[in-house]
Amino acid sequence: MRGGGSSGAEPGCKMEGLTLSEAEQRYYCDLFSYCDTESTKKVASNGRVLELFRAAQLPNDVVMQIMELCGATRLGYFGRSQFYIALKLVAVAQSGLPLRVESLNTVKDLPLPRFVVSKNEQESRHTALYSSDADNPASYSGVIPPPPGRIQVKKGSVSHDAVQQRTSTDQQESTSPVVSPQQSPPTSPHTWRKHNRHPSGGNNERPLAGPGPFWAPFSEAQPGSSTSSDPIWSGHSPPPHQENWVSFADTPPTSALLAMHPASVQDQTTVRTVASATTTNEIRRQSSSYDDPWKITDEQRQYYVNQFKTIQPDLNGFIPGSAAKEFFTKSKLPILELSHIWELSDFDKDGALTLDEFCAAFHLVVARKNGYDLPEKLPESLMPKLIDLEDSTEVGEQTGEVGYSSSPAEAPPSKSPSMPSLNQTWPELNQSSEDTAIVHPVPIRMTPSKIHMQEMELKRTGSDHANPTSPLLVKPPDLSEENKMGSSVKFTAGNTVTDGYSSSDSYASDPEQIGSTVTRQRSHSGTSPDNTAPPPPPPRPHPSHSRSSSLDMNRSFSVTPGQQQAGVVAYPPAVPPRPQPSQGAGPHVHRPVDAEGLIAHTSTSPQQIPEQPNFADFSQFEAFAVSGVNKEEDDEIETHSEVLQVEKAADSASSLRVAKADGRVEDKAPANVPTSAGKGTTPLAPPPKPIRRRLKSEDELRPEAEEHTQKTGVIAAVLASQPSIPRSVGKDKKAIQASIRRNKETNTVLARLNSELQQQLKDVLEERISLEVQLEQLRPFSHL
Amino acid sequence: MATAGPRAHRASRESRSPHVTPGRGGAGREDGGGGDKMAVCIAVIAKENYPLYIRSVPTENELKFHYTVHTSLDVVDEKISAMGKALVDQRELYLGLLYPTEDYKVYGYVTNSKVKFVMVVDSSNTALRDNEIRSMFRKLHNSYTDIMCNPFYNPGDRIHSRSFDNMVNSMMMQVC
Repeated sequence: MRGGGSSGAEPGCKMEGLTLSEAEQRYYCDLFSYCDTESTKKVASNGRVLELFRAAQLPNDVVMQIMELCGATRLGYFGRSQFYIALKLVAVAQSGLPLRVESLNTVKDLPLPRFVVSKNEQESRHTALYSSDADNPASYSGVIPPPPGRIQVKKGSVSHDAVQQRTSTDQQESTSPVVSPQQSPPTSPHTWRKHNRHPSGGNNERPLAGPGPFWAPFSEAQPGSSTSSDPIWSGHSPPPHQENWVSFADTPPTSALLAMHPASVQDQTTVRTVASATTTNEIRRQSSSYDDPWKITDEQRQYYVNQFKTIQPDLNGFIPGSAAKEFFTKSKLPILELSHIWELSDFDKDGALTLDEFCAAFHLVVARKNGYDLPEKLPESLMPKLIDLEDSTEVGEQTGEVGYSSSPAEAPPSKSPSMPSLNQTWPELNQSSEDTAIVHPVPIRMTPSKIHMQEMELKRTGSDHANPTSPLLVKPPDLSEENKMGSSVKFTAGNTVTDGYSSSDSYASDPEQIGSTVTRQRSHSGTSPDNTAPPPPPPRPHPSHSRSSSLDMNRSFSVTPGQQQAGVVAYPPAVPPRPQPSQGAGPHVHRPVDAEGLIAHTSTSPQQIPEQPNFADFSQFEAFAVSGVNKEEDDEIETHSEVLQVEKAADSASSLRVAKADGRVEDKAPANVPTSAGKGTTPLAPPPKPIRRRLKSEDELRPEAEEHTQKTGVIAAVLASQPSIPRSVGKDKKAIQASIRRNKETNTVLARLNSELQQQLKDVLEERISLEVQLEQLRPFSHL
Repeated sequence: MATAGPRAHRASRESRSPHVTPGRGGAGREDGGGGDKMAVCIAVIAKENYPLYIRSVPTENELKFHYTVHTSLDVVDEKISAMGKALVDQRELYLGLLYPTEDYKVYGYVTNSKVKFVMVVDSSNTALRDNEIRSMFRKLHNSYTDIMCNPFYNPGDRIHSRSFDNMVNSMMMQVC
């Protein structure tokens, strides 16, 4: 029956109104399997049942009563349901409760029926159906009295005869001493002997499942716990004790025999006995959902815990692998199997055993010793719980029942804890480094950036005119970047676009660049121009273009192609828009843009101060703008153009840049004004543009500062036109002054842009060098 | 992206058509119905260049895989030495493609303790990407470390772990 397992176990079945806990279910199943000598799965052989009842150490009349109650007497055989009922009644009887049918289900926490099992159960199993068939219920009574069968069948020991009953247990046990040495191997002589004895009543029932020679080490470990209610046991040398223990251990793996063992084992060790009722109660309480062959009984668990203590006094501590190895090596299992057991039981794969893991491992060893094959995966009941198990106190907690989820987590899941740790080692270091690089906060100059942001925002979105502040808020980083001008090259175009890239490139190419975020972002986009650059640029120009196209800016810009010299224009134009509304001129659409640009401009560069007042006082500005702008030209035209310019600027930084060259309104293009200077005079475009663009613009600016950029061309044209406008006005002096101012502003902006770009260049070069180094490093691997 | 597109499309198409044998992905199917990760042979080589574990798909001539792995060790050593002593710390564990043959490609991976993992994959299996190979090696490495944690395992012994076998089986090609 070994391995036959809980044959035909019906998980959680109810028989005739009998409700069994999981533990009971399992236990009864095992018992039934044991009794099911003919493997009918339906009927327990009477002989075995009788033996079982004898082992229960109940008075004969009680047994008879039980049999009647369960219906076996009536039926003449023990069906599964009868058997279960009988077992339950046995438990009831053993608890001292009156036998009642009602008590079957009403009694809670009934301990499992205890059966004193004798060793050599196996032999008996194999050999005997002793008279089981021959017997009939009626004869049971006669048979019952016989020796409770417990006790190891020792050769020559036992005179267990029918006569011997529970009371004679001691006698039997006394005889058993001899057994011990021989106990170990369930030998055929035993069986044979038992067989002979059989008529007298079967002591050979329940031979311990034990594979004989057990663990000497365990025996050593056990001395303390060997005290048992049965003096005999203690008297026995460890082996029998172990065997009992072992057999008891067999229970989990489901053999019918095993079911007996726990009881016997309990008797055998004080430790175990201590628990019995309580433990059984607890076991019952716990009750797994179904028959779990791998469950550890309380006695077993207690034993394991004790063993654990011998190695590691601290129950919450670990047993190091080496100690565990020595311990389990004593079991004399092959290393391969021990290795497998370890794999199964070391749940967290840390090379050490916690109490739970140790118990699981021990359990598996015991099972293996008893001949049960090791499972491929750790059974649920053996899984370590998340909460630490106490020792005996917790009792009921079958390992694995609670904590770890019933999910069959076994080895693979258990790996997860270790895996992540391992995986973490896989770097991801690169990323982390990148992250760290990214994180490089660099102080941002807010003021200019604000303007930038605004401008960028305006420029980019070109749609949100209504809310001057929103763009600011929305894209501070962008603006800041843009403000950086040169550095922001990368970023510009839609920070939104570049953001994604920026993160990739963290190597903060521009740590020094102004505006950490900005620089960061910039660097991202910039450092890997190859990576990020491509995408950003396109959007950039686009909005501006679209914007410009949508606006009349193109027209206006085109109108004023040659205005560059004015320079100052860029900025001032931003301002005008606002007044324009007041003036009632200018396209309202542009108004907000312009206003923003105006604001931006005003708020930032010092040179804008003059504008600020203008800003504050639109009228003044108006006047100024008008005066300044109109100096050369028609007010309206100018404002209009300015507005346009502003808008244009907002649209594209490039335009600003170009404008810068022109030093005119173009730069102003409020939106553009990436440059904090925003003066707008010079398109300065730098800021928002993606690096490339910026570089380009920068180059363009530097060399010529002519409107000349790709899309800035238009702006430039516009800007250029701007200056021309004022000039045309004719107020030379004022115009000149204004233009001078603007030019100065433009200069500063350009200078800043220049410096930023220089910085960027440096960073990029550094990056390039590092990349080259890396390339060299990797070169050897590329030969394939 | 481009490749993913058609592949996905193929997969979707296949999934939609019931009669088409359910394939993992277009590429996978075309390759002969490999499993998720399809290696033809996986070997774990000790530091002293003797095999700790070697398994290949059952074919008529498995020795050729053994031979392939053996010859790949030279390439592994070459790669390791190329790193130089100075870069030991930075040496990446994943060695990449060691060398391609007509029928397969051999990938290598070496741990810090000079234990090498060699994987032979079928060349026709175009679905395998580099990062997939890396993940497979990572799994191998994890399993190997788990084995090392087992006190009953003596470093240098052949690997007989069931869990390791299971993991390797999951990576081996499912040969019909």
